[in-house]
Amino acid sequence: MSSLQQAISFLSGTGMLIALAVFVLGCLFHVIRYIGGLDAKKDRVAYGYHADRSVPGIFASIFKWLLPCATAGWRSAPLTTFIFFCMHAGCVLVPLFVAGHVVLLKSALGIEAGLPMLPLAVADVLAAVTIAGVLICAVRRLVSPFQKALTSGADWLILFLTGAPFVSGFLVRVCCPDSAELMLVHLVCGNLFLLLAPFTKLSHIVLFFMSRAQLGMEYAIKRGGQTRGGVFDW
Amino acid sequence: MKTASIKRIAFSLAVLAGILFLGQQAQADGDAPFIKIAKTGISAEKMPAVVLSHEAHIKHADDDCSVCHTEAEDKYLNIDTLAPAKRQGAVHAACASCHIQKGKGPLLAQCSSCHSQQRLANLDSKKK
Repeated sequence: MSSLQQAISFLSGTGMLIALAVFVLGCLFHVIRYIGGLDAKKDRVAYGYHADRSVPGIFASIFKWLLPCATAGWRSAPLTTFIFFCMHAGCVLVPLFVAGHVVLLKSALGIEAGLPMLPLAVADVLAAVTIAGVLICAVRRLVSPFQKALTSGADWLILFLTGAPFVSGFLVRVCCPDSAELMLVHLVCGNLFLLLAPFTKLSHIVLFFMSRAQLGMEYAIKRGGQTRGGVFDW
Repeated sequence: MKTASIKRIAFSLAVLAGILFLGQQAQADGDAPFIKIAKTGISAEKMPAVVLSHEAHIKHADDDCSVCHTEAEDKYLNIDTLAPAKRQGAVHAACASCHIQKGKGPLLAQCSSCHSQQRLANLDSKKK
């Protein structure tokens, strides 16, 4: 086997499993650290009380922020919301459900059961939309005065980490299906995403759920939450 | 230049072009015949069917047909006996392990090298 094929073999087998393990353990660490860092006295929220309100409050908050029109925050910026949701749909669905990834994971783990596979045409559209979304986010960071003031290297890093595997994978699909070199680039970018995600702002993959859960609890416990009809009386 | 000479040159160039074109076609079919791996239970919209060069595989199997034709000459890789849900995994494992062992042929990560939309289209157009 040539060194190129050895690299491909490693990065789509053992290397991929290592990156996946780092990703899962890193995200788990974030969850444990977040929950461990909750302090009823410092946060001034009685987390252990009013479970009949706080537990539904957790799920209400997470659920509403997962729908593009369910919160005032999303509704206040409809175009941005639309672009974000399109981009995130691809970001989540393509890595999990594209046929090649499902097959490689099954093979690496030695299992027969796997996630369902997306039709190739659907995966192509989602990937194209995600790439467009990442580019729009990048342009927005350069153009919008609010974004420019807040943007740092960490933000550019996650745009690169997300965009690179999508661009390289999309190129393999539409331009050069037989190119082993391009497939290696895709494998490197994909594994890099998994390895670095827990150490970058990509940790929002799990921390979104943590902060939404915490705020959902706080609003439910302190301010009545769903007892107010689910809408905060500003 | 005389008209006759121009005609001769043009004719020669045309013949040359024709030979080169046919030569290209022959090169493309150099590893013919191509065969399609069917009945794997995966719909075409999820992955185009695998089309492989039978000649190339005979060469690398050291003329031992039973490497792939495990049950009979007209069957391969136990596809008929396996449950549909297990076929894809079994075929991938069989093909990939031989490719790795021989150090030739695409790896599992090189999906489009075996699931080539181009070769499938060529095969389907030839059958018509």
